[in-house]
Amino acid sequence: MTCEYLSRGGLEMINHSYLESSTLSELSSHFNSDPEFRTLSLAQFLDPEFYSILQKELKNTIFERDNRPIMYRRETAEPGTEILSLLSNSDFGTILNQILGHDFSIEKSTLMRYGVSDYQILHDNLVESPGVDVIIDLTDDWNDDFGGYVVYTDGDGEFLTLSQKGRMLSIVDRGTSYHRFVKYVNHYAENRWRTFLILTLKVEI
Amino acid sequence: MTEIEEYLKSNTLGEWMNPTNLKLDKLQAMKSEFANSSPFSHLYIEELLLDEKLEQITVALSEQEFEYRQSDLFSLYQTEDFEHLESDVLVSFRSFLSSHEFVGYMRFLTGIDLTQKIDCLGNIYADTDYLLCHDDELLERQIAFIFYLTDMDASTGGAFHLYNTVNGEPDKVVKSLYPVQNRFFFFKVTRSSFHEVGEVIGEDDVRVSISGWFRND
Repeated sequence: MTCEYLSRGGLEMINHSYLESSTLSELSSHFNSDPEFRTLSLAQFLDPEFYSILQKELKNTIFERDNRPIMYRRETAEPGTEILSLLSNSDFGTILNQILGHDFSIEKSTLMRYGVSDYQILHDNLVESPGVDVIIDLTDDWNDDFGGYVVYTDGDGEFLTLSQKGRMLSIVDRGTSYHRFVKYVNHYAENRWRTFLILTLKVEI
Repeated sequence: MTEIEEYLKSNTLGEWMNPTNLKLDKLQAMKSEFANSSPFSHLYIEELLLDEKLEQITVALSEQEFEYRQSDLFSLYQTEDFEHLESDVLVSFRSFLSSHEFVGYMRFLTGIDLTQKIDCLGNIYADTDYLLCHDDELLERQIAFIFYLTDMDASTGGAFHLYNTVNGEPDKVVKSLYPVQNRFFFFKVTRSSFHEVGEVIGEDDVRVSISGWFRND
């Protein structure tokens, strides 16, 4: 399959302001400011033109239903060529490397979407080993009142909610304490989908 | 006279329950229905209470404070356990459920050893509220029960969905039961009693119930 990003001469994928070294230095400090729970969200991370290419690719992506009611109801798909081109982009790697302060490798990349009555709950069998999640929000036309937002919780009252913002990239170091769930999507979502790409990183320390 | 026959003639059951549910032949049929039900043992008793008692409970519950609770698994409004309420009606209803006679009635229907220890609280599911798939297994819970105070149907949501299991995991919804006012529904709590409460749809209807567990500790 042709990669539109490459065929159009390598247009910008990422908001250029995130590539400035002073910005990256600030972001790294911010990310590391709370060693107990390191998180960072970068609004408008993806370039609008590249984002529209991703949206076009998503419309042609075949998602498959993935139901395990005790853990989740959702749809998943293999990342397409445009998404893969982002993941192999050197700027993308540089930004994550600078913020994390370490080299990393992508252990797993999952494209998933949640429609009405979908969810992911906390379950012992879904507990992941400590690691860093990178979530790229690919959702438009959504209201958080529909549910479908990602929540990280330590089960002890501390939590982080990632509201829907298309083009946003979030980095969350789950450590040993934090686990992720996706809030049930209620009937007000109608035929909309909450879509995101989740990367699980292995950080070389 | 057998133990169950004594219970059926007791004042405790007679004061609360509809006489149609105090006939031994009906109980024996229900006992058989419970034992042969699938995907896990369950049963419901229609018109459990006398109209007067139902009315008193409905009014008393409407005067209670409900607290909104949500997690990854649920979104709903609940009262405290009736044990801690000041409402004489609701405390009395709890006492009836945990009475020697009613626990004996339940023991006869289910064949499960139960003590007079129960949990009992009020629930409201409003628009978009739900309870996702789980098995209820916790502590000494033996029988889970839900006493419905409102009617629901496909247009309002709020059905009780029962899952079958494949390799010990819930697989698909194989039975759905919508709440009916004055229906007492219960099921045996096991590692495979997977169920959920479907989302309530629309702002005009709420699903009101009293639920809890019969225990054996």
